[in-house]
Amino acid sequence: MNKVISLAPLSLFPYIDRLVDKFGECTTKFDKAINAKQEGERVKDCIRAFMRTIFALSKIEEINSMPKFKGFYDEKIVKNEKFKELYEQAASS
Amino acid sequence: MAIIEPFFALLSESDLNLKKAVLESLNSIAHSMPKPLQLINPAFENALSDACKYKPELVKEIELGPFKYMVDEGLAMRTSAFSFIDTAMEYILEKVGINYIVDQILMGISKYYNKPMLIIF
Repeated sequence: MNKVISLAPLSLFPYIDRLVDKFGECTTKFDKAINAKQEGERVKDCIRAFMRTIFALSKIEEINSMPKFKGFYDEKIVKNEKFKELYEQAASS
Repeated sequence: MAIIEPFFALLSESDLNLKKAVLESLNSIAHSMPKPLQLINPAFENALSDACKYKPELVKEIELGPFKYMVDEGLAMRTSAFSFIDTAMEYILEKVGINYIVDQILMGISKYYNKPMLIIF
Protein backbone atom coordinates (compact mmCIF):
# COMPACT_ATOMS: atom_id res chain seq x y z
CA MET A 1 0.00 0.00 0.00
CA ASN A 2 2.83 2.36 0.76
CA LYS A 3 4.03 1.96 -2.80
CA VAL A 4 0.63 2.78 -4.25
CA ILE A 5 0.44 5.78 -1.94
CA SER A 6 3.80 7.05 -3.14
CA LEU A 7 3.17 6.31 -6.85
CA ALA A 8 -0.43 7.43 -7.24
CA PRO A 9 -1.90 8.78 -4.00
CA LEU A 10 -4.89 10.58 -5.45
CA SER A 11 -5.94 7.55 -7.48
CA LEU A 12 -6.75 5.76 -4.21
CA PHE A 13 -9.45 8.25 -3.28
CA PRO A 14 -12.34 6.55 -5.11
CA TYR A 15 -11.53 3.40 -3.10
CA ILE A 16 -11.00 4.99 0.30
CA ASP A 17 -14.40 3.91 1.66
CA ARG A 18 -13.74 0.24 0.85
CA LEU A 19 -10.22 0.47 2.24
CA VAL A 20 -11.39 2.15 5.43
CA ASP A 21 -13.96 -0.61 5.97
CA LYS A 22 -11.10 -3.13 5.85
CA PHE A 23 -8.93 -0.95 8.08
CA GLY A 24 -11.78 -0.92 10.59
CA GLU A 25 -11.81 -4.72 10.61
CA CYS A 26 -8.03 -4.69 11.09
CA THR A 27 -8.16 -2.35 14.08
CA THR A 28 -10.86 -4.50 15.72
CA LYS A 29 -8.72 -7.57 15.24
CA PHE A 30 -5.53 -5.85 16.43
CA ASP A 31 -7.35 -4.42 19.44
CA LYS A 32 -8.50 -7.92 20.44
CA ALA A 33 -4.99 -9.29 20.05
CA ILE A 34 -3.47 -6.48 22.14
CA ASN A 35 -6.10 -6.82 24.88
CA ALA A 36 -5.77 -10.59 24.95
CA LYS A 37 -2.01 -10.10 25.24
CA GLN A 38 -1.50 -12.11 22.06
CA GLU A 39 1.34 -9.88 21.09
CA GLY A 40 3.59 -12.29 19.29
CA GLU A 41 6.18 -10.84 16.95
CA ARG A 42 4.06 -11.52 13.90
CA VAL A 43 1.12 -9.56 15.31
CA LYS A 44 3.39 -6.67 16.31
CA ASP A 45 4.95 -6.58 12.84
CA CYS A 46 1.50 -6.49 11.24
CA ILE A 47 0.34 -3.68 13.50
CA ARG A 48 3.50 -1.64 12.88
CA ALA A 49 3.16 -2.09 9.12
CA PHE A 50 -0.50 -1.10 9.34
CA MET A 51 0.35 2.07 11.27
CA ARG A 52 2.98 3.02 8.69
CA THR A 53 0.29 2.76 6.02
CA ILE A 54 -2.15 4.91 8.01
CA PHE A 55 0.60 7.46 8.55
CA ALA A 56 1.43 7.51 4.83
CA LEU A 57 -2.25 8.04 4.00
CA SER A 58 -2.66 10.77 6.59
CA LYS A 59 0.20 12.71 4.99
CA ILE A 60 -1.83 13.14 1.78
CA GLU A 61 -3.18 16.65 2.10
CA GLU A 62 -6.54 15.97 0.50
CA ILE A 63 -7.29 12.95 2.70
CA ASN A 64 -8.74 15.17 5.42
CA SER A 65 -11.58 16.01 3.09
CA MET A 66 -12.58 12.33 3.05
CA PRO A 67 -15.05 12.03 5.94
CA LYS A 68 -14.83 8.25 6.20
CA PHE A 69 -11.05 8.24 6.58
CA LYS A 70 -11.12 11.20 8.95
CA GLY A 71 -13.77 9.48 11.06
CA PHE A 72 -11.75 6.27 11.13
CA TYR A 73 -8.54 8.10 12.00
CA ASP A 74 -10.12 10.16 14.80
CA GLU A 75 -12.20 7.36 16.31
CA LYS A 76 -9.98 4.31 15.86
CA ILE A 77 -6.43 5.63 15.93
CA VAL A 78 -6.30 8.89 17.88
CA LYS A 79 -8.83 7.88 20.56
CA ASN A 80 -7.22 4.50 21.19
CA GLU A 81 -4.22 5.06 23.45
CA LYS A 82 -2.31 1.99 22.39
CA PHE A 83 -2.87 2.60 18.70
CA LYS A 84 -2.00 6.26 19.08
CA GLU A 85 1.30 5.28 20.66
CA LEU A 86 2.04 2.79 17.88
CA TYR A 87 1.02 5.34 15.25
CA GLU A 88 3.36 7.93 16.73
CA GLN A 89 6.19 5.37 16.70
CA ALA A 90 5.49 4.69 13.04
CA ALA A 91 5.38 8.42 12.30
CA SER A 92 8.74 9.05 13.93
CA SER A 93 10.56 6.09 12.33
CA MET B 1 10.64 -9.63 -25.38
CA ALA B 2 8.89 -12.98 -26.07
CA ILE B 3 11.02 -14.67 -23.39
CA ILE B 4 8.66 -13.53 -20.64
CA GLU B 5 5.42 -14.65 -22.24
CA PRO B 6 5.81 -18.35 -21.35
CA PHE B 7 6.13 -17.27 -17.71
CA PHE B 8 2.84 -15.43 -17.97
CA ALA B 9 1.18 -18.52 -19.48
CA LEU B 10 2.59 -20.86 -16.81
CA LEU B 11 0.78 -18.99 -14.06
CA SER B 12 -2.47 -20.45 -15.36
CA GLU B 13 -1.27 -24.01 -14.62
CA SER B 14 -2.85 -25.86 -11.71
CA ASP B 15 0.33 -26.96 -9.89
CA LEU B 16 0.84 -24.78 -6.80
CA ASN B 17 4.61 -25.28 -6.66
CA LEU B 18 4.91 -24.36 -10.33
CA LYS B 19 2.87 -21.18 -9.79
CA LYS B 20 5.03 -20.24 -6.83
CA ALA B 21 8.22 -20.83 -8.85
CA VAL B 22 6.82 -18.74 -11.73
CA LEU B 23 5.97 -15.88 -9.40
CA GLU B 24 9.40 -15.99 -7.80
CA SER B 25 11.02 -15.93 -11.23
CA LEU B 26 8.86 -13.00 -12.28
CA ASN B 27 9.83 -11.27 -9.06
CA SER B 28 13.51 -11.64 -10.03
CA ILE B 29 12.74 -10.37 -13.52
CA ALA B 30 10.92 -7.42 -12.00
CA HIS B 31 14.08 -6.57 -10.02
CA SER B 32 16.57 -6.90 -12.86
CA MET B 33 14.81 -6.20 -16.18
CA PRO B 34 11.31 -4.94 -15.51
CA LYS B 35 10.46 -3.57 -18.94
CA PRO B 36 8.99 -6.85 -20.32
CA LEU B 37 6.44 -6.77 -17.51
CA GLN B 38 4.54 -4.21 -19.52
CA LEU B 39 3.55 -7.09 -21.83
CA ILE B 40 1.22 -8.56 -19.20
CA ASN B 41 -2.13 -9.61 -20.62
CA PRO B 42 -5.64 -10.08 -19.19
CA ALA B 43 -5.12 -13.87 -18.84
CA PHE B 44 -2.09 -13.24 -16.64
CA GLU B 45 -3.99 -10.65 -14.61
CA ASN B 46 -6.74 -13.19 -13.94
CA ALA B 47 -4.22 -15.88 -13.01
CA LEU B 48 -2.37 -13.46 -10.70
CA SER B 49 -5.63 -12.42 -9.06
CA ASP B 50 -6.46 -16.09 -8.55
CA ALA B 51 -3.03 -16.65 -6.99
CA CYS B 52 -3.75 -13.86 -4.49
CA LYS B 53 -7.00 -15.42 -3.29
CA TYR B 54 -7.29 -17.23 0.01
CA LYS B 55 -8.63 -20.71 -0.74
CA PRO B 56 -10.04 -22.63 2.23
CA GLU B 57 -9.76 -25.92 0.32
CA LEU B 58 -5.97 -25.58 0.50
CA VAL B 59 -6.00 -25.46 4.30
CA LYS B 60 -5.20 -28.93 5.60
CA GLU B 61 -5.29 -30.33 9.09
CA ILE B 62 -2.05 -32.03 10.11
CA GLU B 63 -1.93 -34.34 13.09
CA LEU B 64 1.29 -34.41 15.08
CA GLY B 65 0.68 -36.82 17.92
CA PRO B 66 -2.00 -35.35 20.14
CA PHE B 67 -1.85 -31.99 18.42
CA LYS B 68 -3.61 -30.77 15.31
CA TYR B 69 -2.25 -27.96 13.16
CA MET B 70 -3.86 -26.16 10.30
CA VAL B 71 -1.48 -25.71 7.39
CA ASP B 72 -2.36 -23.34 4.58
CA GLU B 73 -0.80 -24.86 1.46
CA GLY B 74 -1.71 -21.77 -0.56
CA LEU B 75 0.13 -19.33 1.72
CA ALA B 76 3.52 -19.57 -0.01
CA MET B 77 1.96 -18.91 -3.40
CA ARG B 78 -0.06 -15.95 -2.09
CA THR B 79 3.10 -14.53 -0.51
CA SER B 80 4.92 -14.82 -3.85
CA ALA B 81 1.96 -13.26 -5.68
CA PHE B 82 1.86 -10.23 -3.39
CA SER B 83 5.66 -9.94 -3.47
CA PHE B 84 5.52 -9.82 -7.24
CA ILE B 85 2.80 -7.14 -7.21
CA ASP B 86 4.82 -5.13 -4.71
CA THR B 87 8.04 -5.40 -6.74
CA ALA B 88 6.46 -4.80 -10.13
CA MET B 89 3.96 -2.17 -9.04
CA GLU B 90 5.49 0.84 -10.77
CA TYR B 91 5.78 -1.08 -14.08
CA ILE B 92 2.35 -2.68 -14.13
CA LEU B 93 0.20 -0.07 -12.39
CA GLU B 94 -0.62 1.78 -15.58
CA LYS B 95 -1.39 -1.46 -17.41
CA VAL B 96 -3.58 -3.16 -14.80
CA GLY B 97 -5.12 -0.05 -13.28
CA ILE B 98 -5.55 1.03 -9.68
CA ASN B 99 -8.86 -0.85 -9.35
CA TYR B 100 -7.08 -4.16 -9.92
CA ILE B 101 -4.40 -3.33 -7.34
CA VAL B 102 -6.96 -2.25 -4.75
CA ASP B 103 -8.97 -5.45 -5.36
CA GLN B 104 -5.87 -7.54 -4.60
CA ILE B 105 -5.08 -5.47 -1.52
CA LEU B 106 -8.61 -5.91 -0.20
CA MET B 107 -8.40 -9.66 -0.87
CA GLY B 108 -5.10 -9.95 0.90
CA ILE B 109 -6.07 -8.18 4.11
CA SER B 110 -7.25 -11.24 5.95
CA LYS B 111 -8.06 -12.39 9.43
CA TYR B 112 -4.68 -14.05 9.84
CA TYR B 113 -1.41 -12.38 10.70
CA ASN B 114 0.71 -13.59 7.83
CA LYS B 115 3.29 -12.55 5.32
CA PRO B 116 0.85 -11.38 2.61
CA MET B 117 -0.59 -8.89 5.10
CA LEU B 118 2.89 -7.61 5.90
CA ILE B 119 3.69 -7.21 2.21
CA ILE B 120 0.38 -5.43 1.56
CA PHE B 121 0.87 -2.90 4.32
